[in-house]
Amino acid sequence: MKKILLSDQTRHLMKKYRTLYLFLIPGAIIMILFAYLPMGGLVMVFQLYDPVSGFFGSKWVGFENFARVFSTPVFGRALRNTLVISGLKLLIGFPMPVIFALMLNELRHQRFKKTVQTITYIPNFVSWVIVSGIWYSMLSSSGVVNEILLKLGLISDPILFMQNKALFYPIIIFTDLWKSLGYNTIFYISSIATIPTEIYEAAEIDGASRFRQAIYITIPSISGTIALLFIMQVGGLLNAGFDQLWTMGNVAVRDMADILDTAVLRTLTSGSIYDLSTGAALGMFKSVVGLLLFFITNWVSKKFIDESIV
Amino acid sequence: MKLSRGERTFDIFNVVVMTLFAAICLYPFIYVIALSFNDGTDAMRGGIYFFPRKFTLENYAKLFEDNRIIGSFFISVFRTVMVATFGTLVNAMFAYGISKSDMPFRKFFNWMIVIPMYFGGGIIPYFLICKSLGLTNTIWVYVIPWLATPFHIMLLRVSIKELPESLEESAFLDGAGYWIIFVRIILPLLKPALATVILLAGIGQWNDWMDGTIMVSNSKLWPLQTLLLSILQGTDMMAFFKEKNLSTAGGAMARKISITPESLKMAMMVITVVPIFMIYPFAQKYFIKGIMVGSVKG
Repeated sequence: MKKILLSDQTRHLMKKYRTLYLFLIPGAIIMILFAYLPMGGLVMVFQLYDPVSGFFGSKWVGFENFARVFSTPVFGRALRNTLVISGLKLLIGFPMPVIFALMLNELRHQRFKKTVQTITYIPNFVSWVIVSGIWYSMLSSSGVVNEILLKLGLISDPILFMQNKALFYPIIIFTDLWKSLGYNTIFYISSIATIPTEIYEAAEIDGASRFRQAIYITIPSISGTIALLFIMQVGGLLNAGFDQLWTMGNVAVRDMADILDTAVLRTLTSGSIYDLSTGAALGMFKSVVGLLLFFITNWVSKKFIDESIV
Repeated sequence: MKLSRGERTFDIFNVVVMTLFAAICLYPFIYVIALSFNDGTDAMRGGIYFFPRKFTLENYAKLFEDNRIIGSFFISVFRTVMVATFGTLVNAMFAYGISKSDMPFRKFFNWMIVIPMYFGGGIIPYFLICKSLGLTNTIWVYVIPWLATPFHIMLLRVSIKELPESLEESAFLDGAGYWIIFVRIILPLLKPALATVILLAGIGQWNDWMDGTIMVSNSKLWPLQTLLLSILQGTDMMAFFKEKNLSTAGGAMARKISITPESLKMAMMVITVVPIFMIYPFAQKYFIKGIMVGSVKG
């Protein structure tokens, strides 16, 4: 029997590598248990999952859970907030690292440049819990921001920044930039580093100013990186920032802070109108659409700019 | 080379903007640290910007009196160390295991790490699986699921591919098996990549709050981040500070206690962030390199 399934050569190689297969066992077990079993667990989106009967005994309900997800106002609000926040992050958050990388690149003093980089990367390594805590205290009614505004006479009463609906998205965009702007310049800076210096030397001899060098040499040279990162961000449009919105949202701005991810998580904590199956269906909707978006943008970029991730 | 007036103006503008940028990134940390070392009641008067005005260590002393905070600190250390060491070992073994291009079924194992990078079951099925495996409400839920990470396997695999094959062949002729080759030759040569993965895993573990929020209802088993989040969000605040007779700032003043919930929060944030600052110099060196490798096609 075996001979029909596997050729002699395959069997020979399998024998040769038999100890090497053992190296795969621990990792494979962990991935099967914690990556693949949960994927299998998605059958629950077609069930009315009840914890006592489990995945095998729960009642099958077809697409009822999806129908329930789409018909609730929670979903519409979460989808809208997700797209608005992601859209703002794309619009403002995407060009900023490009501009800052170009500016950093123009710094003449190398020690100064290194220091700026070292400092501005720090917030990226800190958790959103900390970032949220820090900015809540900076922006609190007795925090330093209000203090300065009061001293300058710009306001007469402290602003309740975190409770103000109109200020919520600007704060979300700002704190996101605060955390990741410095770090996101890395991709462009290392891309700039690969540009041959001879090109700049030649341009200098021709009398091109630094501004013109930046416009006609640097930017075109990194356009591939810019396009690739743009496409990646478009592909991740449904990821509005799970950790950020969960840690920075509060009751006063709930209507604006709830995104798809937080709506799913809420089914596990409390305060959700969804049961577990409906929550899982919402989660699955998000990851399937997200995956489609990713493949579409990847295909577009492969086709039009010849850069791709997969 | 002579600079034109426009260029000089730009240089000055550029230096000013970059200095401001760095200052904005750094200042909030200084503010929090200054407040954490300041008398809590005194801090309510405002006016503390860079240095504590009425220096005290009481905020920290109070925190370290609390068993739950010490417990949480050790849980964070535990998960960080466990995943950074054993997880990296498991990942390196897997990466080495799929490094032979003529190994039968290699493609199958390759797909095994690719698929989870793009699609997952989501947190609800994940929670239910962990629950049925008896991991919820134990500290093992922070460790066991993270022992294999597809992205880290990818990073290590890229580095293993770069190693010359001749090294292994000569060891083979000396009669060494794969395990000996792995431990004596591969791992030592992989040091930079291993450092990257250890730091990635360590920082990820130290910063994670979600596992605790979802999987563990017993707050005594929470890592520092989850405990901090629940204190910051106020869900846990009343219970937490009542234990310390500090339920309100006003109450604190009346009793002439110099600690307020705010000042304790600041100290707790500092404790939570200090380990990150300590490893930051290494992180900057390895992490950034690793990210670059990862972003250039897996």
